Amino acid sequence: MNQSLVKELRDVVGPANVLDRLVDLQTYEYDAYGERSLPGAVVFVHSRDEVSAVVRILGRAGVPFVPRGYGTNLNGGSLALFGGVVIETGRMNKVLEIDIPNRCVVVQPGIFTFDVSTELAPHGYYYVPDPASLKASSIGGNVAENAGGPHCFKYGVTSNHVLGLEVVLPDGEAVWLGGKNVDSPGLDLTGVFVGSEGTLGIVTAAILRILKVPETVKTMLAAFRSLEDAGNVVSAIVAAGLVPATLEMMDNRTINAVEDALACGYPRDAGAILLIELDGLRDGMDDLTEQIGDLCRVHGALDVRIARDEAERATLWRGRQGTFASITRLAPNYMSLDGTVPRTMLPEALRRVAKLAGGYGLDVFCVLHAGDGNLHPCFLYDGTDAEAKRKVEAASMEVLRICASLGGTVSGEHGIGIEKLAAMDLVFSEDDLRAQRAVKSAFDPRGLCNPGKLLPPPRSAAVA
Amino acid sequence: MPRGSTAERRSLLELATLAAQLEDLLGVGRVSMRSQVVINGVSARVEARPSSTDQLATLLAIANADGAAVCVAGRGSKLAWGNPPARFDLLVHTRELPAHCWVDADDLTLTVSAATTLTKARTQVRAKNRVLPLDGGRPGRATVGGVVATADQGARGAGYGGVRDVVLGLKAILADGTRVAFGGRTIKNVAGYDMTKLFVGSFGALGVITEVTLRLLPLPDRLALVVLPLASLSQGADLATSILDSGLQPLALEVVSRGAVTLAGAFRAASCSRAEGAALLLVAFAGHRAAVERSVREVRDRSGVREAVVLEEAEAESELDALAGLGATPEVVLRARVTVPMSEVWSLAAEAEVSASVGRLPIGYRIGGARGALDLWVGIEGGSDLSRPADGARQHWSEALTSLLAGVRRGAVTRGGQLSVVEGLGLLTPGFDAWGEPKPSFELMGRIKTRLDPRGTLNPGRFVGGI
Repeated sequence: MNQSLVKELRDVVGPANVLDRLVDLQTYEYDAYGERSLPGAVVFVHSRDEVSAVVRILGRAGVPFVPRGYGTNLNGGSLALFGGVVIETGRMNKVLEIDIPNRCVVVQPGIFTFDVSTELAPHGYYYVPDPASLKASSIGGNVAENAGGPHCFKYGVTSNHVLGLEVVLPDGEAVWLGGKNVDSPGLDLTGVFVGSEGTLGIVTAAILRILKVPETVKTMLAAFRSLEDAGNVVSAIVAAGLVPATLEMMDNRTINAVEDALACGYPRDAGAILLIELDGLRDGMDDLTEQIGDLCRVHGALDVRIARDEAERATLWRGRQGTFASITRLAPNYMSLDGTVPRTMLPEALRRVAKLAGGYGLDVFCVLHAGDGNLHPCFLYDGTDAEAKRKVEAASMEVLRICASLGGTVSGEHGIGIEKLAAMDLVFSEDDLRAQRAVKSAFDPRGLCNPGKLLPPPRSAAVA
Repeated sequence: MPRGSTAERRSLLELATLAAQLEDLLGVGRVSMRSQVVINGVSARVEARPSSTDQLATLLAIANADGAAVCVAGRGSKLAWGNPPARFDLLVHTRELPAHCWVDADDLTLTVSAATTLTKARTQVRAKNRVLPLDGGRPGRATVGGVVATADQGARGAGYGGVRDVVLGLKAILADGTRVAFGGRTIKNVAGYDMTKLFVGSFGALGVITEVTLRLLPLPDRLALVVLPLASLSQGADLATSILDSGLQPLALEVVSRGAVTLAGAFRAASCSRAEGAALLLVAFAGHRAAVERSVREVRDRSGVREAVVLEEAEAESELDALAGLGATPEVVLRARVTVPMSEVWSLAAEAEVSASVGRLPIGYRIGGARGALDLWVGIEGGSDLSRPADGARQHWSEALTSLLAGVRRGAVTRGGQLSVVEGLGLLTPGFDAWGEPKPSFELMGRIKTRLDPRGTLNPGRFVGGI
């Protein structure tokens, strides 16, 4: 990277906060997706003004940049393409304000998602969205990816919990979108910024909605002979008008991978398990728990177990939260997908995915946010085997095609990044994409902010 | 250059040519050059009633190419909300577009054409034991498209969240006639930009919404509404705050002022508490029977609460519906909506009440305590006739109303909120902006508008920052 540019950056953030040696840059050439791309430099920022100054310098030099938290991104979105500069916000990790009267908290982007609720705990409040990565991922990243998690079934995704954002736009200007009030007149820029995968600007502060910690939580584990039986219970629960906080499902192969790694007491011989959690006022909770237990049994549950205390609850959840870690021990590489279908299409989607995996001769591990129709089939492979990698990529695209054809979408949680660019036309027409490019160019007319992500190039250009 | 980009009015000949083109497209009798529709003092010149979304798309393409300025109306219940159109050639009615309404009870989704009335959509959803979490104003007249385009959420928003939180996807037609679809039928969807959010509450500035997919809720086991008279607004603030702090989860948490009851349309609950009282507190709960019973009990047992009335099921439902209809009386000449951080709404309402009494203006309001919403309804003393613009009385009232709203707006902005004029802008001093002073983010909104509607065809000048 151009040394005078590096010096300019060092003048803003201090000499130690700009990395440009190859060995340092290699740490930042990948994220949780697995592809690699070496950045031109890495800059650690400490304040909005630093972000603004760094972005302005890069703008003058015409160098692209990409915001980065802790790199847990599953779609390659945190990679710096075209020799761009990584702007790392991990040092901006403070809670700026806890505002209980207005039910919100103002945080910097680098705070770990899990820490937000830890800070709120003494006040009896929490921040709801709970992606599996919550102990390793940052709020900035969660906002950029519109992160999901098990509790989205009842409470909605990150987008439903972000009230306002302070962002540095790609021209270096800082601006507040939204605020502590809801339904502020004007275009919902906060809404479109959440989930924009770092392509519209850099979050420097976020106002998050907080909720009172529920008075009671009931967690139960139900075991079934097959995924199909478990799927039927999910439908029955929803049809009965019950709204659990979570409806998580796992197949037999995943159960055993989790047991091998974490031994949290999941039944190894079950074809599928459901992890169901209810929360709310204590009144009526036992009745609701019983109703759900009955539905499970009516639909052929082999066993229904209710966590008796917080320790048992934590054990049940440890398995779910450690699912990917447990699976990834089994092979050098894995591909986890996150296609989503209307809930009633889940059984059909699972049948087709199983058949597809068989056809490709691949082992598939399935874990699902069943309440949301969000499935995570996971394929294991050895990335050094080009043929195996090609096979997994082809199968993955087929999975996304299945989800789209059943009326769903190609990504429910992980985002598009570079991973799913080719899948965008499964769910969007060229006109739909053109409208999205118009939004991108309104925020970032020069295309310097995280280029090459989220939106495929116009079809005519792709052909040429 | 689009001819319409200047503020000059188009000649009759130009409009007649456009009308003839549209009539060729839509058929005889579907285009009129004798429009009666006036939006905040600006009259439409041509009206058109397409009968299919294909026609609507082609119509927009023609109007856009022609440089005409277009406003779109469902049933017209919110047409006054916002600034007068900077240009206004063509009013397009959507009410004759085909209506469809598909309730997927198992997936908890509703896909509905935008022109469907809220009442109709609700009824169909209800028939499948589901609830549509939209509570916008005047449900009999309001269309789903209008409620989504204005992000108009009512009292039940305390439990439902905002309109933005319940819309999963939508279809729209852009200014040049391009048909687009965003979002989908799933709660989780992170493919591409969340364009759905951009269209919710966009007041027709970006495109014409033609179809919406919404999240549904199961019909609750039990619904109850506690109505209790308040000695003062501050008692309401204390009660509302303590209810929220206690962890109870109200479906609605509203304070309705005495003025609202007398001025803006009496509703049943008022009779329950004819006795003196500055305002009413209405708290609704929905959910499991036992949870609802306990919630109701806890509200009644709060200190200072004496004569609480509890309504249940259908009675509670209709009472909550009546809230949405408040303000729709002839006595109300001006309506405004304020949103502020939720804890700030109480002091602002008190300020508004004082200012109104200083200006001798009858005022009513509702406070959405869990969302920081304040709807204001203002009348004028003796219900003077304001239809004669030259009248000195009109001048007097105009100044009084403007000064009231300007004061409330200052209070809202100081508290980190905003005020918009929902109805009656024409009575205020000319130049009073329906949305308030530009904020830095408005410029960005303008850039999005320019890229999606480069010729300024849709609702020009009506939205924030002159968009």
